[in-house]
This record gives sequence, C-alpha cells and structure tokens, in this order.
Amino acid sequence: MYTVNITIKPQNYNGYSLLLDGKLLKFKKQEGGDYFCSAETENKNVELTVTKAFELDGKGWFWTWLAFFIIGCFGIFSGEYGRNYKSIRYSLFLDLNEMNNIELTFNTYDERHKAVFCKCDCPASETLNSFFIDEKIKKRRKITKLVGLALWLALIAAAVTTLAIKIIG
Amino acid sequence: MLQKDINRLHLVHLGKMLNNYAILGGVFLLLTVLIPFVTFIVYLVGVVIALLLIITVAFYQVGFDILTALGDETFNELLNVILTHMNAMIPYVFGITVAFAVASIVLVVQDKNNKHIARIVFASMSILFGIIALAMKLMGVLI
Repeated sequence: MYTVNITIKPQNYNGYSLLLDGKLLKFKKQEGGDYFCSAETENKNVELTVTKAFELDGKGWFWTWLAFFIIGCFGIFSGEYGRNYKSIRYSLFLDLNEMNNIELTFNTYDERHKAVFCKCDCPASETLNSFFIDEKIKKRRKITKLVGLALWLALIAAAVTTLAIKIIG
Repeated sequence: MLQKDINRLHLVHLGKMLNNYAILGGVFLLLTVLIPFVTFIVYLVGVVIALLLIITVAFYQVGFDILTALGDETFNELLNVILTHMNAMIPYVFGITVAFAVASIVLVVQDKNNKHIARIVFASMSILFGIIALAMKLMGVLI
C-alpha cells in the first residue's frame, strides 16, 4: 500500500478537482490555509490529474439547467451560471515510494505559463501543465442564454394571447 | 468521478436559488408586519403589488380581485384588498420561507470554495421575520 500526502497552497486555488488514478480526492482546509489530502493506493505507478468542474459539464447539463431555469421562475431567482471558463490541464505520473509528499502551487491564469508548480519527493513526470479557456462550456452557456431568451419570448406571447382571449371573450 | 464535484456545484446552485426565494418571502413577511404601522409603506407596497398583480392578471385570480377593486372602489379599499390577501397568505409564506431558508443554509455550506455568509445571514433574518409575522397574526395584531 502506498500513501500519497498532497498539500495545495491556497493561492490561486479556484476549487480545482484533483483525481488520483481517476478517483476524486477530498481536501480539507488546514489551519495555515493550505488544503490537505492523504490518499492510499495499491498501484506503484499512478496518475494525478487536475481539472475543473463546471456546472454546465457532465451528464444531463441541459435538463439540469432547464429545471433550474423553470424552478427559478424563468431565471429570475435561479442565479447566473459562472462566466469564468478558465480551466486547467494537468497530468502528473508518479512512481510512488511507500510514503510520498506532494505540494502543489497554482499559478495565476496565463495560457503562456505553467499552471501548476509541483514539489514531490518521488520520481514524477508531467505530461500536461497548462491553462486554457473551456470553449465547450462557453458554447453551452451561450446556448442556455439563447434558450432562456426564447422561453421568455414564448411566455410573453402566451400571456399576451391569454389576455387578449380573455378581453375579447 | 468528476460528476460528484459537478453534483455538488448543482446542490450549491439550488441552495442559492432557494435562498433567493427565502429572501423574497422574508421581505414579504417584513412588509406584512410593517404595513399596519407605516402608512407610507402601505401606499408604496400597495402600488407596487397592484402593478405586479395587474401584470400577472392573466394567471392569478387575485389579480382580478384587484382590478375589480380598482374599477369600483377607492384607493384605500384597494389597499384593504391587498392587505387582506397578504395577511391571508402569511402562514403559507411563513412555511415556505422557513423551509427554503433552512434548506438553502444546508446547501450553501456545501460550497468549499466560497463562504456565503451574507446568504446565511439573510436566510436567518427571513426566518426571524417569519416568526414575528406569524406571532403577530396569531396574537391578532394584524388584520
């Protein structure tokens, strides 16, 4: 069994999701402000990936948005989806010892620079390390805006028609 | 596995939405409590609610009551209609507001990236206004 202790420095840590061999890690905030997680694995060679979860990602994103839109009184109370499409691509292959300590520091967003600085006491190699704008999420947000507008227009049309029928009737 | 994180984001979003409703309910209950004491608010709220009800007249029967009152009665009688409706709704609004406020507090604290202190404070205030409004109604202070 190999133990991996991961510490994340709080600077620029925007709620990124970390996965060790595809398993989501849960971090706890320490007294000094750092985030810490201790994970155990049976594999000697593992992959640590960092990614960002977006609400408009995942299964059934459109239906979830539509449900929120309708429950939220056609978007009045449902709140906005974030306009931050900045995401991260980071992949680190680790050749683990029995006990491993990894410290990650996130950089400020700049597509030209490295996204993450890593310090670890085991052999490691980075394959991906960059920021990027998630165009898929950006496109989906545009879709939700357009569908929302169309639903509002439909609602107004229905209201006007109902009113007209009542007045004429 | 990332789906878990996305689901958590959805829960926090739902919490924010319920919080917005709870704040709306809190404002309604606060106004209901203040109306018997502050004439200015009576007029202001009366006008705003009358406008809102006229806009939604196609969907709510209460809107027709207001329109009827507008056609036949004076402005003060119109306000009485509004006050009567508002007071009749207190128990329902109280229940919904408290349920939404509690649910929203439970959900927004799931957000590990941001602390929603303002939302928690507003939700707590909504519960407080609800308790005051309901107590006043039960004591017969309100109409």
